[in-house]
Amino acid sequence: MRRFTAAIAIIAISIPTVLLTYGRSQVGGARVEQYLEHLRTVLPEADHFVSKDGEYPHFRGYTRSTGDDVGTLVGLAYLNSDVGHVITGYASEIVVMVGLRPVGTITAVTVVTHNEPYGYRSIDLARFRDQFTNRRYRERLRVGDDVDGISGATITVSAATSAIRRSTRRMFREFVKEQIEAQP
Amino acid sequence: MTVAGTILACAMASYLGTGPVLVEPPSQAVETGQSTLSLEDLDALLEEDEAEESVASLNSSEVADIIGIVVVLGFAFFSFARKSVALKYISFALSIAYLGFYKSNLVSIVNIFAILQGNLPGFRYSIPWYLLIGFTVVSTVLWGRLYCGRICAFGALTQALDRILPSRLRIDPPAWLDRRLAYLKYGILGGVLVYFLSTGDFLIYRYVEPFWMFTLNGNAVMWTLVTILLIATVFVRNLYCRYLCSVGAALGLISNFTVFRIKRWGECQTCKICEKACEWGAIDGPKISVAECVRCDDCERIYHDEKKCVHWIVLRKKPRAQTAASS
Repeated sequence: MRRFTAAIAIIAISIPTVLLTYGRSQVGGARVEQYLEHLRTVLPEADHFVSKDGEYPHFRGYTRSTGDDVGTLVGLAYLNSDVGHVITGYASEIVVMVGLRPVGTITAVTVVTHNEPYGYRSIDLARFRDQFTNRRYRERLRVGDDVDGISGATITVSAATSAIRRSTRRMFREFVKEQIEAQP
Repeated sequence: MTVAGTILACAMASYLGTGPVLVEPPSQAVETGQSTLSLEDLDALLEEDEAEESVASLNSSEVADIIGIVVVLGFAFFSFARKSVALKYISFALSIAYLGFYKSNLVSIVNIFAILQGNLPGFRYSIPWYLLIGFTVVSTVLWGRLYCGRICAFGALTQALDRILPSRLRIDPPAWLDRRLAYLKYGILGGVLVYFLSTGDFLIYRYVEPFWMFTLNGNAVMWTLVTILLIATVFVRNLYCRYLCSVGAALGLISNFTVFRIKRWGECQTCKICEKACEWGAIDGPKISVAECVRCDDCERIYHDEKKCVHWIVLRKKPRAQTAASS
């Protein structure tokens, strides 16, 4: 009986702990903290980041923020998976972060997580990632068309390119919608 | 002019081709261009993307990948069906060059991890992967470890090495040791799976599989291990495949259900020719251990050789003996 009570007590304590820990990592500040390194890579001009919740969670980077004023919006940053475009590589899910200027131009792409055994030489290569810098949301962005597939691993590269393009278009659409609605 | 207006103007400017501009003067109003940036426009783009996710929209490099894998798998199967030594070596060359160095696309322990987790890649972008995995599983159920015998680029490489290297260097482990060592790979498979399921760490594959070497991308420890392995392979043929490969172990487990097995004659009870010829230590007296057999065809070529196989020699002698007795 005593052992049973102890088990119940352990479960009762551990569940809220796990939930709190997990929950906190999803809340704004901690989420920025978690991805800070990537955020700085894709939005280097920004000195202040804000995590946005909603249907398409993302980050916003600001510059020259002082006190209460968030400053000037430098761009948006988002994980492909948050915008609903999962990249399944050979081994497991690949997560990339894309930085987008408010004008619809990609600043940079970084690979956040990947476990690619064989495709990894291509997905995490600067040669692949750098192709997206300064590309606009409405360019074709197709492998073999205006994006070079690194020889060999076209499967992962095509999937990643598609997810980067689609998440960018989705994010930009939501951003434009927000701006139109905010207009008087 | 609101901030939103400025942003819209910037978006317009960007769309019209003025390059990545962060802040555009507010005087550049939305109406400056022929087309305006509208939500309908953006929705149309999203719809277009949606439509393109179908299989019908494969581009030329994706079609080339599919053709490539079909040719390699098709040729490997053709060489197997023809039981030809020459075709088998061409199949090795194809596997090493295409699946090994060009695509670096082999069945790996990480595929087993992914399948266990139900984490399958999206079909649209991974048709070659599905073809490779599908062929491997189906051929293993039908004939045995055909994949190990001629599709895996590492196996093809060590088998090709075995032909090139002088045979006097070779050490054949005694049968009792060979059988025990063969179980090692099941231990490795189990160990790696337990490690993965408890830690979720995929990257263990680097230290249990040498296949990554085809990508020419490894650290000092990985290169040291693979060098030791390749040197050891000079002395013990197909060392990795026979004793260490966790994918081979998994396929070995599946091959216990193999449908079309290699035929044995009554004479195989006593004859040892095939047992000696088998480079994989898969024949133990009259029995073929399906889990170790990679369908290399060596023994089958002996069965069909009427000059070598005891079965045919006995058949040829029998009628002569009968005629001798009756005269």
